[in-house]
Order: sequence, then C-alpha cells, then structure tokens
Amino acid sequence: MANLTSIAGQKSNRWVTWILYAVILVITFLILYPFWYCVSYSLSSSKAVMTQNVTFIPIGFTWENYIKVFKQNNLGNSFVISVFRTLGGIVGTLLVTGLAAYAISKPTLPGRRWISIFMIIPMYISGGLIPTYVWMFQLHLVNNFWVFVLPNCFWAFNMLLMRTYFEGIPASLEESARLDGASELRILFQIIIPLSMPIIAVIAMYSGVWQWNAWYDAMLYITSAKLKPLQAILQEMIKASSTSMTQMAQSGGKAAQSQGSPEAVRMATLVFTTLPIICIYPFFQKYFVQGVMIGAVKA
Amino acid sequence: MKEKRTDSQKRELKREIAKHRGLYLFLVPAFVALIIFAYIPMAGVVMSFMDYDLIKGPFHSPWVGFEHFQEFLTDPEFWHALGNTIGINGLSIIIGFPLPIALAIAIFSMKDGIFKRVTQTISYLPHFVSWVVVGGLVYKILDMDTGAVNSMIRFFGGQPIAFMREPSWFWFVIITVCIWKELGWNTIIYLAALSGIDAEQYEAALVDGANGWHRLIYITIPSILPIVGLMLIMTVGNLINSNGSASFDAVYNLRNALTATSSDTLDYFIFSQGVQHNELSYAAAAGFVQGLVSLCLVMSANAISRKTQGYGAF
Repeated sequence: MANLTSIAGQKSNRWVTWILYAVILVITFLILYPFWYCVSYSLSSSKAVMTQNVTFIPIGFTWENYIKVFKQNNLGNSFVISVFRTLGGIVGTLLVTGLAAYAISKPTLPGRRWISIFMIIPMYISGGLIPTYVWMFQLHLVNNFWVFVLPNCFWAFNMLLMRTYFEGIPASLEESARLDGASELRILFQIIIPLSMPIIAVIAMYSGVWQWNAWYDAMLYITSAKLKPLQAILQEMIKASSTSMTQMAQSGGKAAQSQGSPEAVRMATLVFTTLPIICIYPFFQKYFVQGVMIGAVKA
Repeated sequence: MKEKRTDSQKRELKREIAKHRGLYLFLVPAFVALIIFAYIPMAGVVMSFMDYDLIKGPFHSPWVGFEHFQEFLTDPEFWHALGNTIGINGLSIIIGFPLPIALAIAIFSMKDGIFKRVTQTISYLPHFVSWVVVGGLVYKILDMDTGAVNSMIRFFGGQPIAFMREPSWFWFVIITVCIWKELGWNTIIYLAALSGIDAEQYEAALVDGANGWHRLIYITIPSILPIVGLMLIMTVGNLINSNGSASFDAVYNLRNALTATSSDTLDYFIFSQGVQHNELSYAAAAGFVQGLVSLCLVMSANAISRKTQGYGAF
C-alpha cells in the first residue's frame, strides 16, 4: 500500500521523498523537544541553571531535584489520592457505563431507543459550570473524595463504544446459556465479559488516563490539602511562580529568578507527575487508536 | 376487534418488559448518575433567573427575571471575552485545521517500518499529557530569561520576547500549543480514511504513468474529501463552546494576570464571575446563553453535514 503512494522508486522524484522525510523528522523533533528539555532541566543542578542555559543535556547532572520532590510535604499523600481516584474512576466507569451499555446492546429491550436518547442528550446539552458547581455544594461533594469518582461514572461516548462492541458478539452464544437457565448476571460474567476484554481494556485506559490528568474538579471543589491530587499540587506550584513573575513585572522590578520553589524542582515534579502515563503509554497507545477508529465508524 | 388487539399488544409488551427486568436493573446506576450529575444541573439553569444565594438555596432565593441577561449583555467584559473566544478558536481552525491532513498524507506515504511507527507514537504523545503539565512546560520553555526559545533567539542575535507577559503574544502561544498537543492525535482519523483507499486505484494510475503529484491530486485528496468536510463542519460547530482551542483547560493553564486582555475567554469570564467573584446567577446566565448558542451552532453544523455529506454525528 504505502510503497504505491510513496514517490520512492521514481528516480527523478527521489528528492521529494528526502524532503518529506526531513520535514517529518523536524516535526517529530519539535513534538518531542519540550519533553526532552524538561527532563534535562530536572536533572540539572539548581546552581548551574542560574548561570547557564539548558539546551539538550543536563548541566551539572544531579538527582537532587528528585530527592527534593519526594521531600515535599504533601507529595506522597497526593500521589496516593491520584492513584485512588484513578482506580475508583476505572471501576466506577466499567460498572456503571459497562452495565448500561450491555443492557442497551440487546435489540429486544423494549424502549431501547428512548433510553439511548436519554443517555446521549447530555453529550450535547449541559447545565454549564455554575449550576453544576452550586449543585456539588448541595450534594456535600465539596472537599469530599467522591467528587472525583461519582460524577465521572457514566460517559455517554464510552457507552457508545462498548455498546458497539457488545452488539458484535453473536447472540447464539448466550441463547444456549439462557436455555440452560442461566441468569442475566451469570451470562454477563461467564460469557460476555471474557469475550469483551479488548473493549474493557480500552475503556479502563480511557478513564484511567482521564482521571490521572484531571485537575479541574480538584481546583473547583477541593480546598483541603489532604485531598489534593498530584495535578492540583503541580498546578499550585506553577501558578505561584507565574504570580510572582506577574508581581515582579508589575512592580517594575528587573526580572530575576522567579520565587517559590526552584524551577528545576518544579520540572522534576512535572516529570514525576507525567511518568506513570509515559510508562504505560507504549502499551495503551494501540488501544486508544482503536477506540478512535470505532468512534469514527459510529459517526 | 381492534381494542382486543391493543390489549394483547399491551400484555405482550408487559411480558417483554418483565422478561428483561434483569437488564433494566443494569440500567439503574447509569440512570441515577445521569439524573444527579447531568439532568439536575440542566434544570439548575433556572438559577440564572434568580438572585441565587448559596445559603438560601433554590427555593428561597428571589426571582429577578431577565435582569442578569440584560446586565451581562451590556457588560463590555462579556463582549471582550466573546471576541477572544471567537478569535482564538477561529484562527486556530484556519491555521490548525489543514496541518493534521498534511501530516497524515505525509505519514501515509512513508514506507512501513520502524521509522513510521516511531513517528506516530511520538506524535500522539502530547495528547496524553495533562494541561497542567503542558502549562508548566510552556512557562519554562518560553521563559524570557532562561527558556529554551529565548536562548535560541539570543543565540541568533535577536531580542528576547516576553511570550508569557505580553497580551499580544497570548493568541500565538495558545494556538501553537494547541496545535502541538493535538496535531498527531488528529491525524488518526485521516490515516483511517487514507488506509481505506482502494489500492487498485493507485495501481491503475501507475500503469497510466501518473506521477506522485498526480496521484496525490487525483486520488488521495478526493478520497478523503468527505471526511475532511465532516471534520471541518464539526470543528466550526465548536466555535464558541469549550471544545475548541480556547478550552478552559488551555486558557486557565496558560494565562496570567499580565495577559488578561487577550486571554479572558467566555469560559474564563464565567468562571471568574461565578466562582471567584461569587456572582453565581450572573455567571449562570452567561453560561446559559453560551450553551444555547453553541448548541445551535453544533446542530446547524450537523444539519449542514447531513445535507452535503449525507451523514451527521447524530
């Protein structure tokens, strides 16, 4: 396929191919460089970065910034919060969204169409930030761990992905089990779930990555330091340094090193926060792409 | 006769429902979640017609009619925020929309192999990094004194640029960052369309002596045109809502007080009025109008797509 479209092989156009590969190389470099820079910076000594600029390799290589990251008071605690919200989100989504998707995938279910519409409407219409914000206060979900999990248990888009998958499982498999008198729950656990591991993996990773990266709910609903996930702690560090930069610029002072935590420590925290995603990325990348494909076919 | 039949139909339906009661039980958690976290907040927009007070609650806050709507429609800050939202999203469509198509065609024409796979893997990576992390990266890399970009500018003898402090640079920064983050990810859908092209077309073209350029113009591009059209319509539908480049995610993590004049978007306006200044009903009213208008945009985008492409998202 690819060799039919590529221009290689035609001698006169070989230079086009070289330009193509060069452009792609440059783009790939530009996408990767910020990460590279950040890692190099986090491995540079705080003293060295005052006088020299980091470009590619760390200057004054040291692990001290990472040691400081682990010594920060709340970091261990917020790591635990992040892990728990990720696990809670995955379990909640699989249970609530998965069960609903399974029920909806049955063509014989009376009222199936209306139930689907009821579930999809919130993809297009929402109450907006403020009514939700006020409602969370009334539900006593402010400064409550469950604010991370409960509102994110049902995702219409994931429901559609799972429904499409379940619809593809041959009905004959469960017919025979039903004739043997198996209950709905038993059919689900003994026949459907073992056959659905690929889509379960996709949805688990979708909601896991989303939960790990989420910051918005913590910023709005959590003020207690004990409940802040990693992203919230990192955001506070970044906001503190940008605020000090702002104040310095407004007071007309010559911009010096920004106050707050040293930049190299901030970069190390940033790397530490992203590391879990990077580590599992090679494994889940393939599944994510599949998810987009199924979604595209639906649309 | 007729009545009897509907009677038996009713009985049939009852039997069907009874037969599926296990499945209905499976739907209960989703229904509860949807009602609590989606439908009640939807009903909550009535608070924009009240002077909502957190302590008095929804049943004791006074009604004020359209007062808040009149108020924000005459608020220059609101129009300013609307202008920034449309500006950022509009420019980012014009600049950012064609890029993933070009990259997808480029990746598609590469020989299968390790280089192609690595390119794709790297290009999807920024999509999975949180906006908080991206914000931190951007602040560092564009820092006026020690950032990599300004080091480069200085190296080539230029004057350092205050990217994160000058309002005039904010649109450039946010659009570039959004393109950087989603460029690779957005190629996926075009790559899917490209791999669906019938190989025989290319073979026939080769036999007819068409060169690479001809194949691109006459086969590749026309084949993906329908999906390009669909994506364009959908993107334009997001012009004022929170799914475009001016998303709250991007704006909140990249803005600061110095760049406020060019970074206060609609979402930020609503957040700042409602959450920071506690003007809950006022912000809810603005959010209600934003929601209505963006729903109209999405619906018309969908209708256009149905008319011209023969299918829509719903």
